[in-house]
Amino acid sequence: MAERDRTDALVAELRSVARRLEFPPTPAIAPTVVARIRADAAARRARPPFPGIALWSRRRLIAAIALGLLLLGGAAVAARLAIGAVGVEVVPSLAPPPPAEAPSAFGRPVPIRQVRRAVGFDVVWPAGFGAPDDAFVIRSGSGLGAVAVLAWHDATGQRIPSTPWDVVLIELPGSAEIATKTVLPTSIDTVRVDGERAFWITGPHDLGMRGAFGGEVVRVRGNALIWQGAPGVTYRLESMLTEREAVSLAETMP
Amino acid sequence: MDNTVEGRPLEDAELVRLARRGEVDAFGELVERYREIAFRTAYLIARNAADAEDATQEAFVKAYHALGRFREDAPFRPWVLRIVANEAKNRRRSARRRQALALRVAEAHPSGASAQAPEAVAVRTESARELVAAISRLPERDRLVISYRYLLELSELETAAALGVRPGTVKSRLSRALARLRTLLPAEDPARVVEATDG
Repeated sequence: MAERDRTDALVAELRSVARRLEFPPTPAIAPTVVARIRADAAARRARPPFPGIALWSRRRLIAAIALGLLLLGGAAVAARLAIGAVGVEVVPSLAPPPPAEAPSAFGRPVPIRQVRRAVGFDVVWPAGFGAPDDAFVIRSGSGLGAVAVLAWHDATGQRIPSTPWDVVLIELPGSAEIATKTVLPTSIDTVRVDGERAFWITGPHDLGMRGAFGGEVVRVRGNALIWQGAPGVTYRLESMLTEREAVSLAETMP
Repeated sequence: MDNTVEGRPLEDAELVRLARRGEVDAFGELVERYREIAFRTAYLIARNAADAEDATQEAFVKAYHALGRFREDAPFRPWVLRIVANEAKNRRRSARRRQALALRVAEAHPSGASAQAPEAVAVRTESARELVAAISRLPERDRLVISYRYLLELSELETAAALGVRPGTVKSRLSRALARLRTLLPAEDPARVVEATDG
């Protein structure tokens, strides 16, 4: 039998087996899902204007660790944390705002297919998002690979101050540090995306990237979630979303 | 709430629109509509019913909270299957022990004029069971693409969404997976050929 025929026969057999396959019975989950959504909504309405004790404890713990590292290293040496290609420097205070702002700093937008060709890894975005409104390539130099920057004008309805976008997704290859974030100890938290450790950074912080911004840093005004998704790719999602919303969105990424 | 117009079920897009306005029952209707395919998608990854149920439930709750960012003209089913598959992978990562895929194949029922002798039916059933066993021995990458596309009969777009790859990648991955599956099966099994051509 020819190769092609054998494959066709196998496919036909698979389709035939599919009709007789017995999966475990599907549980009736709709009532539970609806009840959980209603309970979540009720809890949100009842929540006081400040986060609960548990949330504060966790945030304080991270801040305390970061501060502890600062004290151990002396104020001149900032504490360092890292996920994939993004390093995070925790400093006691941010320098005066640098002149560069994100929109112009990314350079000239290019078609998405050009981004895909340039970076050499799968450029992806959250399920349900259309193609990005603007896309950029930043060549990091020193053989560390190119970085993809994707941005949407109207994906969440909350514009990031000083930018024309409401979501900016940066995708960085490899594990050598290409981007560095400079943050205050109180603005960084560790969270989980798809069960893996991630950083959640709120409020103004600075972003420096090899090969970008003319070597300068830019002041970022959105909240940023940093995590590693596909093997060897680090993602940085900037938006005005809450932590929970940003993590949910990140988890819809392929 | 009655999610029908003159007895016709509402389109997914309409239910999504209502759910976005806070009509939780409309979202419940979407869950009801896709719970089976979602649960089976999760089961193929999690390999046990309890984890698959948890993953499916959690995924639908997450999908509800993410609806604000769902593009209204996009199809709902692949989007939610993507979230389900992600959630199932998380759970499997944290599961202490891996289980073999325990899918049962029902007896083959001869139909109409082509009714066969009981022995032939038994051979066909055995052949189908061998095939399922071979699928469960494949590496996950191959196992999932074959299972989604042929056992769950997801479209290429849905298979791509559940695997987290571009639709164009599904075809090539599928072709490699089928080639590997064939190496795990007896080369020229007459029962298998009969099964395939008259099934």
